[in-house]
Order: sequence, then C-alpha cells, then structure tokens
Amino acid sequence: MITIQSLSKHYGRQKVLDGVDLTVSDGVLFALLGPNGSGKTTLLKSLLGIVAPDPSGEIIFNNRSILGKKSYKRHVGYMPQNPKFPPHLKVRELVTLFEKLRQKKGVHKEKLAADLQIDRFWHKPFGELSGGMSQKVNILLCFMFETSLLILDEPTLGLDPSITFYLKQLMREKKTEGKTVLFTSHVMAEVEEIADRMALLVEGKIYTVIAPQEMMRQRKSKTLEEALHLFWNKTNPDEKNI
Amino acid sequence: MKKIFNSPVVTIALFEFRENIRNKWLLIYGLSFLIFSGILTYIGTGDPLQASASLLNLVLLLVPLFSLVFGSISFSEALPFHEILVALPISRRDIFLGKWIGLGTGLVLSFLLGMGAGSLIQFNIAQQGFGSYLLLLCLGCCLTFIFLSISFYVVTLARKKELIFGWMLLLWFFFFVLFDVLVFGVVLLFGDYPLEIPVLILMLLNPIDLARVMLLLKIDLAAMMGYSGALFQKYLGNTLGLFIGGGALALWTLLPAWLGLRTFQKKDL
Amino acid sequence: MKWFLLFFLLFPAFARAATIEVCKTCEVQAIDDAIARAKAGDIVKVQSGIYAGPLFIDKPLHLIGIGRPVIDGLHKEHVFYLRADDTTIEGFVIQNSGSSYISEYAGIRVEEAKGCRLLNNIFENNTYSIYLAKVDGCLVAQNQITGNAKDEVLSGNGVHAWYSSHIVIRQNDVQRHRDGLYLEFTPDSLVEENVISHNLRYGLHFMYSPGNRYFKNIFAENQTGVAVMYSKNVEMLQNRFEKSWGRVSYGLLLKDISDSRIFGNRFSKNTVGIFADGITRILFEQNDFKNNGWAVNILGNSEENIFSKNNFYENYFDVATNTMSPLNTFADNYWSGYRGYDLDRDGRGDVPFRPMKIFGLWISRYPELVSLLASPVIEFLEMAEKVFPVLTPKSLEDKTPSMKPLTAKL
Repeated sequence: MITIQSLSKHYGRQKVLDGVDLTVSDGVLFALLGPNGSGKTTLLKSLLGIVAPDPSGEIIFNNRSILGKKSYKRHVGYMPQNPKFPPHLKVRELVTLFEKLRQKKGVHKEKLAADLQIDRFWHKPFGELSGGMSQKVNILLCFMFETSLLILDEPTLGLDPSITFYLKQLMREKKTEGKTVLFTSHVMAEVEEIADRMALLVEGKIYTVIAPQEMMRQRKSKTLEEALHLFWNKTNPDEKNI
Repeated sequence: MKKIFNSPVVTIALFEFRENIRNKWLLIYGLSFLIFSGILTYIGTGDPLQASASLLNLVLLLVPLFSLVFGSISFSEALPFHEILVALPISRRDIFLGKWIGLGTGLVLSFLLGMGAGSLIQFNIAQQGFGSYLLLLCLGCCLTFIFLSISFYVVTLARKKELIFGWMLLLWFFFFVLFDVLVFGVVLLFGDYPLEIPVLILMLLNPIDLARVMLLLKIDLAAMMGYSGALFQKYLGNTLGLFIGGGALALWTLLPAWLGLRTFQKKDL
Repeated sequence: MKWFLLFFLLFPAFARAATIEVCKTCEVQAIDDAIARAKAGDIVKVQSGIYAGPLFIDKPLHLIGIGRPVIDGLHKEHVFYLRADDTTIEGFVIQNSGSSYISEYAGIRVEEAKGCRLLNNIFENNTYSIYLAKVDGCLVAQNQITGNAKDEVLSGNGVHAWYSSHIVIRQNDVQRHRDGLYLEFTPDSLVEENVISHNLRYGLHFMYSPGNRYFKNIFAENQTGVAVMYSKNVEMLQNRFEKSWGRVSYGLLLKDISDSRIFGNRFSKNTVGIFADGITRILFEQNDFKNNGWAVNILGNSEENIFSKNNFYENYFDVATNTMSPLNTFADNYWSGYRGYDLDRDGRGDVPFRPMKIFGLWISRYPELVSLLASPVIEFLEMAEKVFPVLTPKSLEDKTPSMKPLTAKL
C-alpha cells in the first residue's frame, strides 16, 4: 500500500504538486489521470526518488517512509516516458547492467524478449534502434523483474497498436498476480478500459479518487470522458478545458 | 574482492568506461596527442628545452579543454539515463562516482596512449628526462580528473543545459589564459613589494599553473632562472614540494567532485 | 712571465745552502727552533708529525715538508707568518688558523716580501688560506685549499692578494671559502688551470688589477664564478664557468672593464652566463654558452663590445639588455634558436637573428614572473613582440648568424 500525505513540490516559485493526499491499495490497476503539466510525472518521480518533494510531505510504502531511501526500490519497476539510453550501449549490455545493479535475475526476461521480438536487435547499440524498439526495451526493463509495484509514466504514448495491446495485457496480468500497477495517462478511454481506480490530478491537486466505472455510473454517462465533463463542470464551472 | 567488483560503483564505472572507449571523440582526443606531440618533437629536435615546454603546453591546453567540454556534454547528456538508474535500488553517490571514475579512466587512458605512442617518436626527450616525462603524464592525469570534477559540478548547478558548453569554454579560457594575464598584471602592478608568497598562493589557485610550475621545477628550468634558493623551489621543487603540489591538485580534484556530488544528490532529474 | 724566468735562473744559488732536519727524534724537534738556528737561504726539512703553530719566518728559508707534516695553528693568529724574501713553503698540511672579526688570520700570511713559493700544501679549516699583502712575485701552485666558510662575515678567501704584483696561481684546488681567489690592486698576474668550486661568494674576484690573465680554470658551483671589476687589459681564455645558480648568480660578472679579451670560454648551466655592467671594447669570441638562464645580460652602459663567433646553445634567454639603443655588435654567432634559412649557401643565415626576448627583460625586473615561465600568455606576447617590436631594441641583432655551430680555433 502506498500512502501519500500532503505532498507538495515547488520548482523555484512554480508549484507543481499542491498538498496531494492519496492512498493506493495493493493489487489494483491505478491510473493518475490529468492533462499535460498537471504534475502526474512529478508525482511518480517523487515516488521513485528522482525528484525530491518539499520536506512537508510524506510518502509511506509498505508501512515505511521512503523519502531519501533506496532499498524499497527493489520492489519497484519503473517505465519512464521517452527513455534515453546511452547510444553506444547494446541492448544485451543494458539488460545485464540492470540485473547487476539490482543484483537479481530478470526472471521474465526470456519470455518478454520473445514476445516483444527483442531478440532481433539484442546485440545492437541503442544508437541504431528505432523509437519503437527502444520502447520495447523500456517495457522489458520494467517488467522483467519480480516487483510488487510497477510505475509506468504514460506507457502507451507513442506505442504502435499491437504493442499497446500487449502492454495492457501485461498490466492486467500483473494485477491479477496481486501486484500494484500505477500509471499515468491523459487518455480517458484507456483509463476507462483498464484502470480499477483513478485519481484526477489537475494543476497539482487531486480532485477525486474513484473507480472509473463508478464515476460513469454516478454521472449516468456512457463514456468516462462524458462523466468527467459533467463532473468537472459541477466542481469548477470556470474551468472548461478538460 | 568479488564483492567490490560487483558493487554498483564499479559496475557503473565499468559500463561508463566501455561506453566511452567506443566514443569516437575519445579516439580523436588520443590521436590528437599522438599527432601534436609527434609534430612538436619533430620541429623542436634542436632544442629539447623548448620541445619539452611545448609538449607541456600541449598537455595544459588540450587536457583541461577536452575534459571540461567532453565531461560536461557526457554528463549532461546522461542525465535522462541517470533518471532511470536512480529508480533502481542504488544510491546517487554510486551513480555519480561511477560516472566520474569511468569517464575519467577513459579520458586518462586515451591521453596516455596518445602521448605514449607519441613518445616512441620523441625518444630524445624520454632519454633526457624520463622522470620529468613521467611527471608530465601524471600531471595530465591529475588535470583530467580535476577538470572533469569541475565540469560535473557546473552541470549539476546549471539550470539551462544549452549554456553549459559556453560556460566550459569560459572556464577553460579563464584557467588557461585569463588567470595568467591576471598574475602578470598583479606582478607588474605590485612589483615593488615582496610577491613570492602571494604569487605562490596564486599558483595553487590554478591547477593549470600549478602543473606547469611543478613540471618546470622538475626540468630545472626555474632553477636555471635563478630561483633555486627561492620560495618556489623551496615549496614546490623538492619532495616536500611534490607533496604540497600533489596535495593541492588532489584538493582541486576532490573539492569540485564533492561539491558536485552534494548538488547531484539533491538535484531533481 | 719574463720576471719569473729570471727568478728560476737564480735558483741554483740555493744549492749551497745548509739543511736542518726537524723531527720528533731529531736534534731539532721544533720548527721555530730550526728557524732560529737557520741562516738566510738554508733548507729546513720537516719530517711527518704534528707541529704547533703559529710560526714566524723573518729570513729567507726553504721549508720543505717530508711525508706531509701537519702544522696546526691551534686557532691562534696565522699558522705561518712570513716576512722574508725568497722563501719556500712546500709539502705541509696547514690547518686551524685563528678566526676573528678584527684581524684577517691566514694559513700562510706573506707580507712585504719578494719572491715566495707556496707549493703542494694542503690547507684545511683556515679563515684565509693564503694571504699575500704587498708581495711582489709569488708562485702559489698545486695546493689543495679547503675553507670553512659558512657565512660571508666571518669567513675569508682561499688565496687573497692585496697590493701585490706578478703573482702566479696555478693548478690549485680551491673550495669552500668566501671568495676562492681574491686579487685587489694586484696587476700583471697569471691565474691558470685552477679548479675553484663551492665558494660562498665568488670563485675568483678581482678589482683594480689590470693586465691579468686567466687561463683554463674551472669555476663550478660558486655563487658567482668570476667577478671582475674596475680593471683593464684582462685576458680570459679557455675557462669553464659552470653551475652558478641563484638569484644573484652569474658565471662571469664584469663591472667597469675595458679593452679586454674573453676568448674560448665555456659557460654552462648558470643563471646568467655573463653579466656585464659598464664594459667597453671587450671582444667576446669563440665562447660556448649552453643551458644558461640568460647567456648574456649586458646593461645599456656598455659600448663598443663585440660578440663574434660564439655558440649559443639552448639558453632560455640568449641576450638581455635594458636599453633601446644598445651600442654593441653581434656577428657571426651560432644561435640554436635561429630558424632562418641560407639560400645563398654562404653558411650565414639570410635573415637576421634577434636574440632578445621580451620576457627576459620583464623577468629580470620582476623575478616573480618566473611563475609564468612557458605560459601561453607569455608566448603570445613574445610572438607579438617579434612581429611588432616595441619594447626590445630593433638594433640588437645578429645580421650574419651562423647556420652551424662553430668549432673553436684558438
């Protein structure tokens, strides 16, 4: 279980996260939904220690505070948005590097590599890979280890359709194995399709935490998009652009 | 032993090293030492004193410049990848130091190979003062790590990535040219006062000057100039001097690296 | 030289002299006893052993040490005090003269005498080793002279000559005094084939001593090799000046010298090879300058001097001066720094060589600038000065630089 308490983040004067309180229970597919620049990525990066949040907040994972710690990351897989891998590094070497640094075998390595057809460019350096190939490796690196939490930043962005389908399946699979999958998205159809619960994040604030189906039921809408539109107009009549 | 070999710092350093020896710029760097040192010794065969001074200036020019520029570019380009590494259960210190060691080793190796191959041509100098030639190589290695540290520190401080290259050139210009102009001005302005200690301190404040003075003392150029009894010789010319100079160089290496690490540990990636 | 031939022609006169032996088992056991008994011109033979000084000699005698007897001055006054003509002191170890702030005590002091011969002695731990005052004609040869000089105040010179003339100093080894050799108001003398090293101040120091000649000496690791002041008609041939290193160290320091020849000498590894202050009409020819900080520093008050057919090898600075219009001539020298060409193949470069570097000028004025030695900033200024000479004299140039080193032909 992840508990986030009054988490804020300033970049200089700019406030990116504004007192976020959020609980993500185990074994769910949880979506952070929000427009670009709403602070979704910053929230994920705070969870991973990539960004240091303002000291007033707190993040608890498995009953322990994780701010400034590193050992909890053994239980976390991360799939960044648009990863940049060193150009001379070969795919095989990067996978080995990850295994060495995690001091663990990538138990799902073979299966994923086969499914994603990574074998074909296993010995190529990243400088020679296409964007799609890099994304496949990105998926591999995130899912090849046995971790109880998976954090995915806009996972389907720029993926070709067949891979998107595979990834979604993978996420559901992990959930059914009892793992927590936390991902960000600005695509409502996607959230509606796969997420058990979602948090609506706008300008660094959480507006609601709810199951997408429940939101649609309450608003009597056929799509999440419509439900959110209704929700948003009621909550904040001045703001129409979500 | 296996444990050390498998520690994250070493793992990252090895990865970084491998990544860098595949970089064509490092090859160009090594080759430029080979070519220039070859040319310099070929031209200067009549005058080994002049030749060793030129060789010294080659090292003092190229090593800091390349270490600053290549170090900063490599480090800032790697920041997105570091973001991914930070998400792994390893400390930021391991990432920073691994990068520093791996990159520094790559630079040093290509410097040594270039100069070493050049030295086959310049056996003349090697014969006349093998000790000072070794010292020159050592100083080149020190300068590599010093300016690598400085470049890392500046990158961790920088907000705008696009300006880093400019900053590096400016820093290099400052250390290689401006500082000496400054010293020159100070000496000309205050030449009537005893300046040995202030100038000595000034030398400690610029690793390039420090390296130059240390080598010149070693090849007896300065002793010849009539300062064998003077402070430079006293503080930098003997074994104690090597320790003082070496200590200052070590401080120059470690201080910016430590400052850079401190900033890196708090930096949002 | 002629005077000395005369001296040697008179030598057989000594043969008729009587001989007195001194040793611990002899009839005469003390040297002063022997001196008292001897008549003028007698020979006193001293067998090995240790004898106490001081000894006073007031008549012409020939003291010959057999098996290196030691005369110990017991740190009182002079070990030998000689006030007689035609006296020889040969084959002794002479040690422990007095030391004083007021008097100048010596191993052998010769005063107001003519024709002394101080040969083959070993001097140790004397303030002055040999002190010649108002002596005319003295041969000082093959002595080993080691002083005890630690500072300039209390220490004395190896061979000190004052108001003397026709002195010959030959084949001695002089070290660790204040000045190795010192000649003041001592004209017409010859100094040759000595090895003079590790003296606190000057290897050889002479003032007001015209007509002196210095041949084939080695001056090494003295603070300054040779200082020549206020003299005329000096000849310095085939000497070696080496390793005078330090802030005020020169191989050869010339001050107010005129009409002299400096020929075939070798200057190596000195801070300054030759420092010239107010010299006139001196010919510097066929000298080698190698690995000096400055080969030649010639001040602006020097005129009509000629530097020709010298070799300048790998000096950091070849020539420095402090004037914009020097009046000396440089011609036909070899300069290792010369990068010109010789299209007409006459062995002389077609482009003049300008041996003065601007940094040499600055560094002599601001010694701390040594810290910028070989700095690119300095190299740049140097280059700029070469193209547009502003601070260095345009006229200081060798119009006919030799393309190859010149082999000395004396």
